[in-house]
Amino acid sequence: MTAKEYNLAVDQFADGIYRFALRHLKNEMSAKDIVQETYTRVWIKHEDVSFEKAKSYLFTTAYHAIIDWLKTEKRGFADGSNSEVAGTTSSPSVDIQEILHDALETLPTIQKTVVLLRDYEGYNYAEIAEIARLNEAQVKVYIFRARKALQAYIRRIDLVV
Amino acid sequence: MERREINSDNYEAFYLDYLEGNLSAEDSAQLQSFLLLHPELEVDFDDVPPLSLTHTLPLHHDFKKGLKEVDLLNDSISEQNAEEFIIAHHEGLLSKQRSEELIHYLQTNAPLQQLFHTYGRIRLEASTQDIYPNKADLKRKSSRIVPLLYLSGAAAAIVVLFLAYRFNSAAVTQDNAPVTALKKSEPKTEKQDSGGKTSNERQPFSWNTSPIDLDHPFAPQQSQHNTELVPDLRINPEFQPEETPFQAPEIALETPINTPPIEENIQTVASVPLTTKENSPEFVNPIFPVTNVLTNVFNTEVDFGTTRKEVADNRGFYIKIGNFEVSHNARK
Repeated sequence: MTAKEYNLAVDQFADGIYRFALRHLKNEMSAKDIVQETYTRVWIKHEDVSFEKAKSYLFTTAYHAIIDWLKTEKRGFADGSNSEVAGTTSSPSVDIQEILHDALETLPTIQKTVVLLRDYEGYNYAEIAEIARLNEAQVKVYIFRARKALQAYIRRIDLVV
Repeated sequence: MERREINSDNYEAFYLDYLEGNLSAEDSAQLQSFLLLHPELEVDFDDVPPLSLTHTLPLHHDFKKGLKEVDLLNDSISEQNAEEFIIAHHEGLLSKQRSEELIHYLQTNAPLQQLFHTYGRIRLEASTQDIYPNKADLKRKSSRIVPLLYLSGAAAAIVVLFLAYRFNSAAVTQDNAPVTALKKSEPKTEKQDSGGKTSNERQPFSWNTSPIDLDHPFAPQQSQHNTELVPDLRINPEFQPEETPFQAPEIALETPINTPPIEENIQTVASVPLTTKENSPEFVNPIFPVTNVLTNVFNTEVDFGTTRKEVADNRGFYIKIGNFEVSHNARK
């Protein structure tokens, strides 16, 4: 990947990585740090990475940076009982996307990761497996569990509203 | 079989048997009596029920169901696995045929239809407001790693350019002028014809075949070629064609036709290193292409040399621009 292609990758994928990190970390500053760290790591290896693989490589790097950050900060990693996302509230909302993003915060990190990669970035199961270092069967299981959890959350909200 | 009595030395063995459920009811009652008589042992008999496999955690009734895999290709759709098929449908994992089967199955089940529509809404959409603001800070400028040798050459070239600028205007006598300068100062012999073509190109000699004006046979003719280069073919009044046979004038050797073009001369001279030190076994010019270009640009001999590595005693360098020369010699 040339410097020009690297800069193109910044234009095309930085927003996606930022959203991906923001949904995990629930903190804008931390999400920006993850983006910078991700691109710094990729720049070091940019001569070994083709532009076609850049997006996958970026999200893989970002994912591991997020995991490292969560482990270091011990902020809700793997327990699934998370607090609120910055800028969102827990009050019932009629906006399905707001409800879904509230529900997303109740998911374990790995389920959140696979759903975000699936819905935000449109990755297929094989690509998600490569990024999250899982196999396709595991990805499918996590996505199915996440969908059921999201559906159960929406159903409860619908009953309340 | 003699029955053992429980005492302070063996009560722990009885107690372990009790915990494992291996103690008989009679022995258990005896152990309980013993522990009540010895409270200093701090063993609470009543709060510790015997362990039993029947006291393990109860399995959730859906536990086995959760372990089972639904074969999306072959399993028939039922109320138990319909949710899996619905999710698979929205994930795009079902074939067209299986999707049609699912839709057909749901037509008879209103709660599952509601579930189908609910799952259809579960698709996260990225917010367009979440944009990384500092993309410019992430971008990199393309840079090439310049070898140290090139940097050294560039630095030397800058020095040479500076010196050339300073000393190029110094007095250089005509006798000592470099060959290139002499070549350029020569009067140009190339002429242009009316068509714009230069006449100094190597061309075979040809006679002037311009028609002669018979009314004014002695008037000078306007030749297309330079009169210095083209033989004068005006008719001599004393010309007697019957008495004197025609002879071509011998003019070929007097014309500068064989002179090579000026540009060829310059290039040939410039491509040859002018310095004598360049060919010296003691010196080597590491930036010969640079000095060669400078020589051509300024029409002045520009040379630079450093002592070869093999010369261990004398280490030094020299810079030569025209007649100006600076050298440094450091003896070890």
